[in-house]
Amino acid sequence: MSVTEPNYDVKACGMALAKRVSGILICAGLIGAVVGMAIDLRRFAFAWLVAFMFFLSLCLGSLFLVIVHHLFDAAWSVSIRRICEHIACLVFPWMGLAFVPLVFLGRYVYPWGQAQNTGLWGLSSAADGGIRFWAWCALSVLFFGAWRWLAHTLRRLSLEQDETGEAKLTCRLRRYSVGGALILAATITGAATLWMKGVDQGWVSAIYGACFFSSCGWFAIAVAWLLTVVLRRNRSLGSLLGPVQFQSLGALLLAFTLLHAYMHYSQYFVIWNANLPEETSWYILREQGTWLHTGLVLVFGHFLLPFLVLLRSDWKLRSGVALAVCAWAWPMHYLDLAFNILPVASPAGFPLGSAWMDLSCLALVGGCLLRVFVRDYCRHPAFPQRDPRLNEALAGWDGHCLGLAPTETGSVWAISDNQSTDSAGT
Amino acid sequence: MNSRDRGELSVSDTRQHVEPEKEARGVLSPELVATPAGLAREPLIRGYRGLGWISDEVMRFNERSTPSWWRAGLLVALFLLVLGVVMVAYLVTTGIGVWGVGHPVMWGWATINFVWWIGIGHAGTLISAILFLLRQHWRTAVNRVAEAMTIFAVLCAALFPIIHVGRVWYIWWLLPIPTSNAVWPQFHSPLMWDVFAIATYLTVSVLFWYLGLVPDLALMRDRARRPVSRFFYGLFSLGWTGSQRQWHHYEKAYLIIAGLATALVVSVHSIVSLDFAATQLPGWHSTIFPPYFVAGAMFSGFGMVLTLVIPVRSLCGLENVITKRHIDLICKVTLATGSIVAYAFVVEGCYAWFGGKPYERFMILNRVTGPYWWAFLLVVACNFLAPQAFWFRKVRLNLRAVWVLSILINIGMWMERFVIVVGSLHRDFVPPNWSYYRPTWVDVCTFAGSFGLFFAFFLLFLRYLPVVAVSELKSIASNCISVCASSRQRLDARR
Repeated sequence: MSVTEPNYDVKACGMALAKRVSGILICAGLIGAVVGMAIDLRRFAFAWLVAFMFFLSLCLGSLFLVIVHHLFDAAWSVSIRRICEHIACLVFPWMGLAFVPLVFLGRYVYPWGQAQNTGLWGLSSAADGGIRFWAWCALSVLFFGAWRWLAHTLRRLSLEQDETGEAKLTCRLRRYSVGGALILAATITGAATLWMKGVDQGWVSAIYGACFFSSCGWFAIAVAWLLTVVLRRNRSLGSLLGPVQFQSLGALLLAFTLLHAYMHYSQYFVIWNANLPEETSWYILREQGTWLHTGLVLVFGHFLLPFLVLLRSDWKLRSGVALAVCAWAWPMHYLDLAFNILPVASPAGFPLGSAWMDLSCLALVGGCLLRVFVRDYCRHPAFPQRDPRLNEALAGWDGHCLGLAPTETGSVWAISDNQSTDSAGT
Repeated sequence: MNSRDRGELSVSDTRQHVEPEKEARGVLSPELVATPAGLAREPLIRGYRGLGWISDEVMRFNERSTPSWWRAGLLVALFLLVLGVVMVAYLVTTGIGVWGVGHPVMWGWATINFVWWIGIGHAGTLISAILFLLRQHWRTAVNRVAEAMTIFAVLCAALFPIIHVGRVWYIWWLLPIPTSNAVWPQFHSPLMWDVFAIATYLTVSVLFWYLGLVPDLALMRDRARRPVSRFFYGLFSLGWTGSQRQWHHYEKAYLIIAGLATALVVSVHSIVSLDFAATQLPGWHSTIFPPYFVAGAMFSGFGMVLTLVIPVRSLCGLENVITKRHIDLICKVTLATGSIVAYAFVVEGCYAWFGGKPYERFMILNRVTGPYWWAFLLVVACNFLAPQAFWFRKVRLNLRAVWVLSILINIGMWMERFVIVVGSLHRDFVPPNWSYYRPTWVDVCTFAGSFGLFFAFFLLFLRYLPVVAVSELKSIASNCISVCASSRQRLDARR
């Protein structure tokens, strides 16, 4: 079976099951969402926001992985880059479409859009304690525009290299990634502030954007690892995926587990220590009812358990462990976002009674994205076929294995960290 | 019909030397080929002639006669050190009134110097421990210098809080000794956390440094010509023979300490940041301070590594083992950490401005347009604009330019701490208290004294200990050959 050539047949590229699952998810999600809207529009608005941020974080995290791959000139991640490129490209138009309902449902979600302006969403001003509605919309459009440009440009050039094999495209990708890293940092912070932190009026935390970024990275790595294991089992990318890829993905996930915990702990500790009422209110709300237990689940489930499992290097190579950790990451990441957003809607505790609404929104958005991903995956080569670093990835080097290279004199050797300069033979 | 048309897996298109038969069959046949021009990785060791050559190359500076630049440098460093000692003596006997501190700026240069030096002390452990765990082999050429720099910088940093307490003879009260004078340390104070954090960091850094030194000290013992040298190197090499058992224990211990040190790198400067963030003062109380300070510490630390490594490689004749590739990579890390610092700086400002708190808004306005506007501009110029030059490969490979930029980074990071400490304190909540802080000559001379301490230790280190980790460099060279051979075999087998 080929993985190099476009293949529009999902059966041939081993994605028939994924396509069926996406169909079921879309149907079930659509029914749940329509019923939810009819029953409680405000609750539905919050459920939609959580689902939107959940999948947005996946797209942005994947975009981050692509950018980092180019910036660091990594070799091992060539094998998984195409997967990340496809996920990143879901951000537009698909996540843009998922954002449209929020423009109309925002009145139920953002307090600055409803408090003193008699509930007239769209007429809010800076005097209401937030930003002007038009500014909110303009910034949102700007974010999506930036992500669209970045994600699609990086994938387009990558696919172009599949055809031409030109090395200069690698240099161009790197240049785009330089600007892309700066743009991504600014837009992720802006998106987290506008769309997520915005539900808590008057609360300020400068680290909030960085916290959301760490969530994006954590979840995207888990999903990339999961897909890597699944696709390897399907033998689609078997020859390209070896211990170096699994080890590196596991190490990255461990690093982001720590980073995420560190960011959140920093925020909690600084706020707790200063004990300012306008700041502690955020945590006080999240200590009410079952939110306290949710917070504890996050401490142990989002940090401690993955941390302990990922510490062992040999476990990172076991596909069973990888599948378990990556599957576990889904509910944990969802709880993390819910902990940030939902307490405003349900101060008494996690709204288990209406959790079906959250699941419906997740299923609808997730199902649509899965279908598009399957289409893209089958339409394009499964990995960057003519990437200059592909040989290193194939040989199982991690970019740091050493090779021998001739020096100018030819009689002596130089130690390099790959064999790419070995053209003259040693 | 070629392999692509038949839909078979082939990566042979990336090759330059493709065997036509295999290409026609379209089988998976990756070759070891030349990477296209511009993408080839530069070598990590130049002119390699064998394992013995590495020892000769690194030890040459230690074994030859003392150069005149070293004597002159040590003389200057000792002069500054004596000046610092005199200033400390003057301070202790007179009181901290000899400094420029006074209400409302009760923390002046001493605190700035403390944070700056402790930040510099971060790069060493980062290079050694974190890059070791991340299997970044390029670290081996610069980790020894960076570790030494860490220890000396932490010593300089520890000096300032000690003398800042005023009555230094009571400094032992900070230690958690039960029932001493019925006084128990205030564990709620971040300053107490500093004591524990820095003491732990110093201990682990020294252990880590010394552990890495043991095989090299044994090498120096074996190569020493004078009996005195042989005795002392033998004493400190702890009977190292290089047996398999010793290497086994050594590598295990090194890995464990690297793991411990990694956590410490992050925790120490986070705790230092809490000296500020745990308060309620606008400009200090910000949730982003812990990661901001950690990134800033790494940034300034790498800046100082560049400042030291560039002259060291040419003065000690180490161009073959500390190559331009290393400088290039350090510049990239410096740029990455500098970008994080810039991000945090901008985000802190934006949140202060748009957060809706009048005091925070005044603070940010005061930073930009207040009496210390020049300091703010210097920070922007040195910390955020200057490192942008590292985006360009030509700049990264121009050692003079890199060295100048590294100095600018050092200045910028010191000024940043100045902006945070003095810029936030000099105009507090009560306008009648506002004042303009000026350092005194004692402040300046004490700071210069800390440089004397740092460079005196550093020059002694250069002369009497191997500047590059010889054993690690050798292990990389050996691994290189075996990994290279096994990779070839694996690729051949796939073919």
